[in-house]
Amino acid sequence: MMARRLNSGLVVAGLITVCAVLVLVAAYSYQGISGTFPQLVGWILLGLALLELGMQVNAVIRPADPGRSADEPEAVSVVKELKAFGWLGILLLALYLVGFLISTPLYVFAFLRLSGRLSLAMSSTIAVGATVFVYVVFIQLLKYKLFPGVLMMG
Amino acid sequence: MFDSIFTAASYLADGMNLLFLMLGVVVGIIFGIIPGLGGATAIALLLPLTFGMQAEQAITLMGGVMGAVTIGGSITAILLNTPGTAPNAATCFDGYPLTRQGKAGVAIGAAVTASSVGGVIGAFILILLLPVAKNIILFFGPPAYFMLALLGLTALTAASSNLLRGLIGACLGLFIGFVGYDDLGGVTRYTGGVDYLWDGLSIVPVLIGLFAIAEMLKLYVVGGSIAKSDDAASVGVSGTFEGIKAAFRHFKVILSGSVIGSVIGTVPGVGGTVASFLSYSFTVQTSKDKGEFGKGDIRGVIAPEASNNAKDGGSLVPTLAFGIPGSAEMALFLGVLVLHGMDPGPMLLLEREFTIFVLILALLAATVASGIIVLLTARYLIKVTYIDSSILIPSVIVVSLVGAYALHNSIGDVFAAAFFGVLGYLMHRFDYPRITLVIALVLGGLMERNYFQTSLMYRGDWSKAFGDTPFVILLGLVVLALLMPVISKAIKHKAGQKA
Amino acid sequence: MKLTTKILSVLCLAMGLSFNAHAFPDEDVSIVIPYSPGGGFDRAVRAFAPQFGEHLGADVTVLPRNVPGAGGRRGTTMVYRADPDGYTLGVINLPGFALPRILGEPAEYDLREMSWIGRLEAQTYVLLVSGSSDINSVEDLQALDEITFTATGYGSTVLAATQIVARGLGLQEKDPIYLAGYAGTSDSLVALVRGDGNAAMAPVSSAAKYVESGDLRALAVTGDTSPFAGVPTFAEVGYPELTPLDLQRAIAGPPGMDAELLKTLRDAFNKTVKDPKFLEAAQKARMDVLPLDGEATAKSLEEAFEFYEKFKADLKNPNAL
Repeated sequence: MMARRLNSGLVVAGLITVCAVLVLVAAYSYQGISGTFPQLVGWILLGLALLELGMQVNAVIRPADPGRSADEPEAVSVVKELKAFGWLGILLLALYLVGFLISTPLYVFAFLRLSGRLSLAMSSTIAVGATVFVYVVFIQLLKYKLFPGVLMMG
Repeated sequence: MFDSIFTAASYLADGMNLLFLMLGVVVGIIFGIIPGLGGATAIALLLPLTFGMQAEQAITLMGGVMGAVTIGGSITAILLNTPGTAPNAATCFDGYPLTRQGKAGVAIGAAVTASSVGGVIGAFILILLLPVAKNIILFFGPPAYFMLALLGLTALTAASSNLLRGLIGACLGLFIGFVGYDDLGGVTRYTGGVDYLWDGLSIVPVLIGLFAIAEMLKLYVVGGSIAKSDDAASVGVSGTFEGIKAAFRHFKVILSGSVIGSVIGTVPGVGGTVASFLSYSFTVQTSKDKGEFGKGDIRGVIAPEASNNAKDGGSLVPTLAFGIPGSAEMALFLGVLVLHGMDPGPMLLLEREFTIFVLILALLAATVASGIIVLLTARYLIKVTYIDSSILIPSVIVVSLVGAYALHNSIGDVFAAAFFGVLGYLMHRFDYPRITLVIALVLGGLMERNYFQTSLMYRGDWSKAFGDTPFVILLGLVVLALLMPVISKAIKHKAGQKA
Repeated sequence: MKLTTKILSVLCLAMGLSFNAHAFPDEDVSIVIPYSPGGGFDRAVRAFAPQFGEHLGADVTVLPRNVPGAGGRRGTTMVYRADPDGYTLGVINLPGFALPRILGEPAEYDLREMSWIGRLEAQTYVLLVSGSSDINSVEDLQALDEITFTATGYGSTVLAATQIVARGLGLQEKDPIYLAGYAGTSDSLVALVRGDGNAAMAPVSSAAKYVESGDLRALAVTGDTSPFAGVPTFAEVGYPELTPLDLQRAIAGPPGMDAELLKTLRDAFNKTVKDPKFLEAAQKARMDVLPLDGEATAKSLEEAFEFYEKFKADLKNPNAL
């Protein structure tokens, strides 16, 4: 358990290091003063990332002392996290394709049914309610042209 | 001057004008609550309505909006960890933990009181500063702005609990700020050819993502509802009373927050977000017992809320004195002024004293009025936090994303908000502070721009910068901020030794 | 806004004005404003739209639509790519939106292909120095050894104007510094007052209040006449080649518009700019109304392109390295 948590910190530090290298490389392609600050910050980030990486490696190699377990976070289910991202992704796709007015009721309804396991009646009511709220506030009151979705345009 | 103030007050008290004020207040609160909408959108919406009005009526309406917006925003920040407007972001840090402990009423009571009192203090400071407004603006040049940005960055980073990760967060924030067209060097950076990124990433979708969406993702993974405690007492009226009392107990925090807010507000382009973060950080740094900050220390709510209302006063200084808007909100407000025949500039303050006092009093009245309205409705608002997360999550996400879209009519902002939502969740998960990222994002551009301006101005010879007074003062503050953690540890150590 | 416009339309009908009913506008016409609400372009279009709608037809509403982004390119590209059915128009910043192409950058639109309906406003530029300096004339400025201009960033019209004037007055030889990074024109003018630099260019409307208060001094203006008492035009002091430097706001539609359609829009435009109701609204909105009809606007655009082409070599980024 402990080792897995530390490994994730290690992975993150590694990722940040990789990002630092990437942005630094890009920074050197910007001529003149546009490149100055990105290069400076890039080097600083790289240095910091390596430092963090070092600390994480250290913590893995050396046996962890029991006093540290106090700040171990609650066990988090990775599956749940992926599902959370998944729901968000689906919403984005729907928004892009069919816009807000269609996505809102569909997404809210689906979420309440599948994830919240609410009754058909409750799910529908809340889905409609959310859509009505969006419609009234943003379209009627604010006269916005909400994104109609790529499929619906032109 | 005093008779002008009196005339302005009696003007506002007149029926029709009072109505405009209240309309502005209500609109302000609502727009403040919904993330993504804010003062700027509210003013843009009401602008066409003002065509037929007298100048003072239009100003009363807009003053009502501006004074109320951040109070509305504090509600969502406290209850849903979603800053309703960017300057409310710092309120999330301690406001939301309080809600999770079932003490939302206390937080709201304190936030509202701090906001109202802060707004009043800010208005007074504005009245004091206006006669010397021109001198103040002229006092700060590129060297000073650069140092100010650096100060903001160092003060907040030095205050992070995990310095290394705080710095990494700051670097990430700086890089996010680099995205877009750089009009100094004429090069587009980090856009990968994507048109949407040409203008860079705006702070509002980033905040919506980092806080609102990240919080909803967290809630999904963890489950339950936002407020855990069943202690109904602190939710009800008694809770808010306790909050109000707490605010007055910590009056010094309100005072420091207001001063910081007003002063930072006068710096164009920096605005409320930075002011509230600086105020928060200042309070943390100067408190003896810091342990509770981030976990529900009421001072962490009072400080930013006082400053984000005081900044309204401050940000009017460059707007009125030179027509330099400090924020999108001010830019629109400028539009209102011009439309009604008031041309901000060196002449305005002399010629239109009455109108200016109407504005200041409207702001004052709005802060107090919106505070009262929120306190009265607090009980119902708080009920939201007891709603089961399954219902709350999709609703908040949808409204947040619509708000993000509404900002610039851009679907790109929606994707950005979602991206930062995931990033914000991951940062929370792996214990990287978001606060330094946000501050670096807001201040990065200012720092870079003014660095090069200063360098050009002095033809590369930075030693000349030491002839610029504000530069030297701010440099001193930067050094102080860097040494502060060391100093306070040394003091604690000495105290520990004596005991 | 829609309600107010409808009320105005009804009132006008009641006053017995007669319109020609055209087949074309049978739904709302949008004018795209490529900036956020609150600025000069926004005000201009909102002052123009109601009367334009009336002159187009009894039931037509003209809706201003803000599409900010990319310094105006996003909105302009939207108009350029729209159907040339007359329902999507845009307000164009000249020479601002022409600059990217002139500077050699990739541009998704070509202003020369668009269908010009008419020009609303035109403004000239003024050369400024600090009110507290000893510089009283263009010659005094030319006598200085160290010149520092304050300006907005690369790609902006103010910077381009500054570089052109510097070339025209022979100041480029003194290797002037361009403090070109201020966020807006107001910021660059305040910087001049502060003393960050010793000269700047600005549109007359932005500079007027500073000249009035004495914080800044005007040395010369572009254009044919000087709005400031005692201040000569560039032509009068011997630099007539700088006269065409100006800032214009014009209305245009996508390329390829049908001739009939264009004529309808141009006619409505020409009527609107003479309409006293519009002129009143324009005055309130601080517009510098100087109308030009569609054909003349298109011609003026061609001339502007030629003018800037001449100075192309001077318009590179002064702080590129």
